[in-house]
Amino acid sequence: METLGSFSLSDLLRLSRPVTGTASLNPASSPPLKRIKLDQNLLLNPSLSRKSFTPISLPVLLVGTVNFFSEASSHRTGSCLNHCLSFSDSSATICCYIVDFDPRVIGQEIHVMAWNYLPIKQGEGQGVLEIIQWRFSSPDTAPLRGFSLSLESAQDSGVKASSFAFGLVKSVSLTFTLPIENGKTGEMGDSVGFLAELLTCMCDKCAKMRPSNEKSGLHRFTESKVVYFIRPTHKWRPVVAKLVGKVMYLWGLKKRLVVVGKESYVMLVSTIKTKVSLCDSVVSDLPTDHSKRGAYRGIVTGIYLHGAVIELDKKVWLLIHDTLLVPHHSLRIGATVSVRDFHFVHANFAWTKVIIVGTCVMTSFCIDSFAVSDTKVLVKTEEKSALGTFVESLNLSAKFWILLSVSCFKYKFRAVLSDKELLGSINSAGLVQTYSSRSLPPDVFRPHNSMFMAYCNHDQCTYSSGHDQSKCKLIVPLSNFVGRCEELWISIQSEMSESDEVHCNNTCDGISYPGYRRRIIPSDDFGCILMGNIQACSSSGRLQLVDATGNIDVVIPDLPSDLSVQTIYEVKDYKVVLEGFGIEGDNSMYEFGEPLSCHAIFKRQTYRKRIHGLMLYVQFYLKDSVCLASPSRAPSNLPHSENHGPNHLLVISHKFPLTNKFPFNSAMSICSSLFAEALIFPCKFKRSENGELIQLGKFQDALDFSKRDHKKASEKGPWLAPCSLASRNGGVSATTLCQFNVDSSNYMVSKSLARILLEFKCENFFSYQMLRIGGYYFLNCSEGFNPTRVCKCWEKGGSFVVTGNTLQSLSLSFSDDVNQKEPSGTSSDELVLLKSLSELHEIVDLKSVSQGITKLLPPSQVLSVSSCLQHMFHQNRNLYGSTDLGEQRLAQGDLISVCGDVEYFHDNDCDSVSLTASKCLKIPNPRGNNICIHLADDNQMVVIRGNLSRKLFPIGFGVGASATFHRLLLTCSSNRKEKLLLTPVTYIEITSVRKVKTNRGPNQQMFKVDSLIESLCHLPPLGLFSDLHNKDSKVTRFCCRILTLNVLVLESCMIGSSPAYKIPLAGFVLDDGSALCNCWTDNDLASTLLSLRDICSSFFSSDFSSLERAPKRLLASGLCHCSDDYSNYKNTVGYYLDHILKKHHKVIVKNHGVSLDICQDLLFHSGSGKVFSILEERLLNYIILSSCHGPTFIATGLVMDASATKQFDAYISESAVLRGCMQNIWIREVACVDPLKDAFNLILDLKNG
Amino acid sequence: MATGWSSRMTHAKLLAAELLSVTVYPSSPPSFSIPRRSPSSISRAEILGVVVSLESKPKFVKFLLDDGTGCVPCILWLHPLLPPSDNDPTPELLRLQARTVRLGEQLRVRGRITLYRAQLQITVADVFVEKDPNMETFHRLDCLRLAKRSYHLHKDAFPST
Repeated sequence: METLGSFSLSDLLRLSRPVTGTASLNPASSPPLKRIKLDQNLLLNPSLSRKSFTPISLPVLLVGTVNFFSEASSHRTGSCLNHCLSFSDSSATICCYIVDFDPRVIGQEIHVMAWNYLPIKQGEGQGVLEIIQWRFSSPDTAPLRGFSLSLESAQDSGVKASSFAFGLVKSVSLTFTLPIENGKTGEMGDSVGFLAELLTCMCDKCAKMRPSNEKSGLHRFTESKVVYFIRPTHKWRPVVAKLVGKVMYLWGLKKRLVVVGKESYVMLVSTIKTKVSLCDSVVSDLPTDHSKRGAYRGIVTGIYLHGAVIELDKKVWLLIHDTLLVPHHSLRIGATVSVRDFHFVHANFAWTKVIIVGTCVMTSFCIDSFAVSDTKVLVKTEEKSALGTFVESLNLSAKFWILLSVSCFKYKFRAVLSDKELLGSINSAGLVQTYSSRSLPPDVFRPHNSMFMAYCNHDQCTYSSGHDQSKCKLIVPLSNFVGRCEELWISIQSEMSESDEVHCNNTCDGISYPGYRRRIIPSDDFGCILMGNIQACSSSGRLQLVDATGNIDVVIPDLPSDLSVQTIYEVKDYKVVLEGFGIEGDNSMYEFGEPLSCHAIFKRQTYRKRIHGLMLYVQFYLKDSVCLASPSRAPSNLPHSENHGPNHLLVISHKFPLTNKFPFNSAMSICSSLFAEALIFPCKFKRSENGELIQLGKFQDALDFSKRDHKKASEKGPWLAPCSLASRNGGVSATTLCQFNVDSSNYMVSKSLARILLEFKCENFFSYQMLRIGGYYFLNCSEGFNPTRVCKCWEKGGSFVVTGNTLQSLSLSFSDDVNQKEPSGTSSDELVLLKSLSELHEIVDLKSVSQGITKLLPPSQVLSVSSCLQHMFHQNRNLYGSTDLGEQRLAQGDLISVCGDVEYFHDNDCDSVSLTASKCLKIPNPRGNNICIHLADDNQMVVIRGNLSRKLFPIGFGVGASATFHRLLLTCSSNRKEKLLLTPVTYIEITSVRKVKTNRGPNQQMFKVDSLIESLCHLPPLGLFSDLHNKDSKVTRFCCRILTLNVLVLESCMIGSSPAYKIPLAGFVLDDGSALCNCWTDNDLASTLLSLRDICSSFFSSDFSSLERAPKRLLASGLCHCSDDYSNYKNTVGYYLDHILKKHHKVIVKNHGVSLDICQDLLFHSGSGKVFSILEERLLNYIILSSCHGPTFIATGLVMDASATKQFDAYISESAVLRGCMQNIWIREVACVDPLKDAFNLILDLKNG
Repeated sequence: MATGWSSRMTHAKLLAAELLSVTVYPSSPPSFSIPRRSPSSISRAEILGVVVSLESKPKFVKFLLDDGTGCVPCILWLHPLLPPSDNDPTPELLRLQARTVRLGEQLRVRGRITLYRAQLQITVADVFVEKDPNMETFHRLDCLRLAKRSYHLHKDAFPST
């Protein structure tokens, strides 16, 4: 027969790890016991983690005695006093908790058949034994009589204790300490004990203490009596608490009047003679009329904040009233618990709804089964703090909210604030308490009583059953907030996929692009409060709200210059913008698991941004936010009043955007510096103590000094800023040379201002974000004021490294300043990202400061889209274009600023405007994708193209954004079409964004049409040959076809070693439907009109016998190579022409025919004097006839006067003169008809008359 | 529009309805003029339409070109009037062009306006296949522009389409 191992408790304590053991699954068998020594070798798997239970490999049982802890025991903690019994053998004593509790076990030796042991790390040599199955050591030792508790040693003490009680145990309080004063002797002391409420029967027999012989049905337990178990009977609390719901006798009590404050209570108080026994014959249920309280049994799924919050069944939140109730050693995740007599609240918070179960002084709480996986024993380590007292003074829902807030605060600010700063100490309040006391409404506070008073007056309990706590918002960890936003974005995508909106793609140049979506969600829809530091990201330069969990991009329209990055801001009123293109693929692949759920918050689940195509940012005003961490530093929009040093006044002329220096390695894409360009006034100012501006020195003197090298003030001119662009390594770099000319006598000479470069290091990116183009700022001067010498700050070409307080914002607003756009955003669908300068800051009347400054020319004029188009149309296109610079092309043009609404943008990888060949060669462009932006106002639209990485998009850039593009390059393409290009210095300023309307109405046109109309604005109308005699000498476009040839001159030449041809002159008769016209051209254009580059295989490979032989005959005559190297070229007309000219050197073809229908009168002249073969003549005839059967095309040409045509007289035959009486034009450009585009052009032409 | 010789050699861009309503002046060869237009006569025209009827013979290809305003009979002779010389590829080119005349094809046709059995037709000089359907719109607008600016048609003279 197998033996059972038995070991001492000291072995268990020495092992100091979670261990589980069992004797046998069959409790009936009782094998012989064998004393063993427990060590690591007996463990089934000793290598298992010390955080999980390790089974013992042998059948073992523990032998020991269960009893109360003695008063002098060193093991006793608050938890043990309330819940634990002691289990001891000859070697040690430990805590124990018995699931299958029998009160008769007290004082008896038992065999523990199945058990868990957990060491308590708080102190050495402590542990808790969880007894799952047990039995008395032998049937002999099992008590024959019923349960009875008494202090046997004190029964004969002579104390008078005649009172008794018989009743149903309704509730048992926790053990507490009460300072008392003996009414008779006046002695002071502490009373340790607990209260138990009994419902007693008022029948006569019960009153005479004879209930045992009666049937239970005759008793009515209705009268409440409170029994106060004081020392030494207070140690009975773990047993009495398990007798709730049972009927018991109590003898040896005394009736006492207990006075607490002004209240007095008559109650039964235990004595040393008190005896407790159960009345098994009388059974009664607890009355159910206490509807506010109930019972709940569930599995623990989470324990948070040292046991103050317990999650049951992942749906119910159990709030522990007093932390004395826990930590219960066996309260671990996975345990089944029963709670009785609690308060129930269905709380409606702003962001979620939760079920809260709150314990109170009467709640009983017991473990029904132990956890098997979790081995973390809760230990009460902290003294009750001021925050704990504050929490206890709140009602249930507010209490839950503040506990959640504690978790959030600790989670969010653990890196910047200490626990003491966050949670406070015993005497001082921390950030959580001060914030909560300010945020919570007064009706959530309830009077806080001692446990004695609370127990005795429980009927007036202030807990209510339902709360609408919509004012309580979640102080959300930013990581969870980002997760929630992404979750929303996915749900938006799903909703749109189910509707028709998914089909609303956009087109550009006939290519369809996916639809762009934007949602603006107000803070009320989230029910969350954002909290964190405002910082500028060192890699993206963007402003961000940051906490320890994550960050989120923010836009602050009223960003002041004195924002502290150390301050924690509370943002209640904000708007979240979600925008981006539709997500391809299955939305179900994204699983977020409710980022704002209380479970996720308490458990501190982290989320990281997963949807790359989503642009997510938050807009809020700083004036609506609250400083938390440094309340003394309220946000201010005014310049530092404490700064009394001299300042320079400067105006920001440009901000240079962030550039991606290391595009192929995202880890290195950290920008070290950002730059801005400013114009600095040649004088200094000082802010007086009362806040007024004082000018130091005379402005005129400084101006005179500055005039030494600037132009005459009387010059008038536009705001041109000539620019040259050179392409290097696929990117584009620019050098600008701005000149600010004088506009009127009232304007200050801008050139007299020194231009400086402001440099912003990583730590001061915030200052860069604060700057606005066109905004005025004070620059702290480090030199002080010296009237006799010019400040170094004012040296032209100087640069400054901006530090924290170098710049202070100032607003100067001139009444006729047309540069500022009116503030928008009044519509609910529109969101302001940037306030106009005039409404941003305090306006300083500079006129009163200095009469010398009346007005400063705006650094650059911002054009609307319509005026931009007008500007493009009226510009002389000859100024623009590109010139070859080695292998690169140099774009030339003006730098302009344009504002409008972004109608659409998309990648445009195959666009022809790319300045280099890198795109064609599929070389990754270090500057990002080639994008196409459609910018519109109410009437017109322009297309802006260029390279821009999506990582460098400014916040808010997207469809529906109101944007200003500073320093765009207006240039001209090879086909004389003006275009706007992004350059590396182009700065995009987003003023506002609006909700994107994706439901496109049937009458709304797609972008294709807008794009065409926009491009047509550049095209001059088509002219007519019949009108040429009325025209001035001007380049005109004609839609025409070739009717016949006048003359063709072909010459041979050599390109390298290969024979080639050139066309010095070609004269055609063109027909446009209105008249005929002699048109002259040469070389490339002539070659195009003659289709010499076209494949002529259709002609030579036709099934006409004579022509089938053509290649062979050509080969035979030496005119043709059979090499495959010419596989393409040899099939062209030009190929054969090369070889004809090799023989004749020069060929002149003249048309002597009068008729225009056929070309039978062509005469061929050979430069070498050789005779043309029939085949050669056929080929030349073929070339000319084919060109006469060609398509309609657009010819752009200039009318030639008589003197110009004289040079062609030698080539023109008499018959051609007979055909004459026509105008002559010189063709400059030939293009195919774009039927759609040219048709719109015709519509405009017809419309304009 | 140009006058005299140039006018007669120019291919007037016309819609079918307009072409079919020209006034014929009996002469040899007959001359034509468009009603309510400048007095200059025309002899050549350019039309654009879809081939809706086709008759191929060894010597000619006869087809109807429909531009939405009417159907214009066209005839493409496969042999030139004068016998071709060896160095003249005209017959081959004409045959190549004849091959492009297929039912449903959109063609731009130039040629002389002639009469055959008192019915107006186009004697085709060249045929060009227009692949882009937008060319029809462009041609109509071009006809309108020319009518307005060069042919000086009255507004009500332009056929309603």
